[in-house]
Amino acid sequence: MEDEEIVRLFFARDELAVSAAEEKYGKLLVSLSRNILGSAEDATECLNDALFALWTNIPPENPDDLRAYACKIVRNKSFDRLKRRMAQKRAAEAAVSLDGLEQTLADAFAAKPFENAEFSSVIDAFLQSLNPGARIVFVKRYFFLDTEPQIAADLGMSLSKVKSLLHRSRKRFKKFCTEGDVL
Amino acid sequence: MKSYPHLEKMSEISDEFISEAAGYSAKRSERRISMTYNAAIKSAAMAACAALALSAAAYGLAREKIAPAPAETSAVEVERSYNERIADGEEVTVETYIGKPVRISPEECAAVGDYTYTLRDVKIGDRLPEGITKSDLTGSVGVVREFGDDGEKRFESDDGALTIGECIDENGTYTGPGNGYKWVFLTIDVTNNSDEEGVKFINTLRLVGGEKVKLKVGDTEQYEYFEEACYQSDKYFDPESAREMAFSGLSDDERIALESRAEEKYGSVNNYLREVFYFETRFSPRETKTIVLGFPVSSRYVYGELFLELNPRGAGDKGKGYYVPVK
Repeated sequence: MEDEEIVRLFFARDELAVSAAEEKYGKLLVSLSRNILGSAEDATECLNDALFALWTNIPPENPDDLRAYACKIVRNKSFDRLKRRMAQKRAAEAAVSLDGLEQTLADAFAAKPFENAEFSSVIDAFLQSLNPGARIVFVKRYFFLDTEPQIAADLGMSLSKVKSLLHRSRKRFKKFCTEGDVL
Repeated sequence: MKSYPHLEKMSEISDEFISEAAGYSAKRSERRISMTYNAAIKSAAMAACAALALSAAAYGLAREKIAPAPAETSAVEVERSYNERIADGEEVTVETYIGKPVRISPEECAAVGDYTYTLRDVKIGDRLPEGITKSDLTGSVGVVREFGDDGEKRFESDDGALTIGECIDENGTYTGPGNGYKWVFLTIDVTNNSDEEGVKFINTLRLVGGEKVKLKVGDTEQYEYFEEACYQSDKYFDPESAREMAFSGLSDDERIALESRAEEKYGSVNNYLREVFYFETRFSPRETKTIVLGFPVSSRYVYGELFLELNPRGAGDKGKGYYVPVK
């Protein structure tokens, strides 16, 4: 089912919209959530939360890109859930895998802290400056939180190529933030 | 409470880029990076090319085993210490030659015929491959001239194109001395003579000499720095992948010879493998791109190879290649 049709069903308050969204993007959303939470069970719960959010948000929201919209929702809900779990000290394993990733970004960000609104323009300009391959690898790593081997498999690249692209992108990103000439 | 503010900030990425990347998760086993660049790449072509794979890295050292050694006169005669200045008025000669892997037959190289390589700004070498005429090459002998207001001296070829001792920033702007590097720049025009839209990868690698390689492709003014990518630190070095790339296509004897040579020259195979890196670009039908490769002039010599790979590198696939060694 096309996204426009699914959104139309949401607007019509037809519950078929939820199952259609789950069928089309469920695996992607669970995968993204699992990358954050490290738990399939929690990821499934997050998927349900995200589907419910879609149901309550649309309307009035009318996303141009349903897939990206759903990804952002499940990502945010997953981080919220992770924080709750960490408060209960139940997320040690997931935290370990994210710590390193957070640190690499923190290094890149170190030159200049951004508010969210400001960052939005910076990150988009930065991504626009990358070639498609490097951009996809970067987004898969830092938005979808896919592992490097996962990315290599998805894109048919060698693992070393993925690592090299990420390293160069981070370096370029840091420079981007430092120079601030994109704002 | 522990948090991940930077990772969370990535939610600000716009929908366009999220969807683009998400598209490469949906059909994991079917998608290949070639589609990132051009969905028109035919899987049949990729499969055919896989059989012709030859690692540029492997060739770089194996060439010394399987190809005639270059004559003494073709060796680079620029032997300068790391920070040594070239004397004013001193004449410096840089010789290069171009070649291609001896293990790729003319039939296999059919696709190579779709491309024209014009190597500029180099002195004519003595090992020209078939199909490359001396008229493709121009001289590069020049003298050192004063440059800039700071008294920096550098080598400049007679036509001003080949330069040693130039220090540039990432925008290609001369920054004067200070970074301690002298560079040899090699300019190559690469033309896709076919009407086929396609992804053409360029893999470059530096085997010895200096610590960096600079690369400029097409109209892009920005030079790419590959120092980390070139010499991969432990954090990013993946011996298994590097080994796979470097040794694929070699017979056992060739592999053993290469390993032996690498150990002798670099202390270990891994040290050798660390110095392999990639760059890639795409050529439209009939498009010509000017590629500028910069090699640092270091203590002994400059050596590098430009590997023009005519087909995309998919999972386990390597396109047929064409090498332009610079020595």
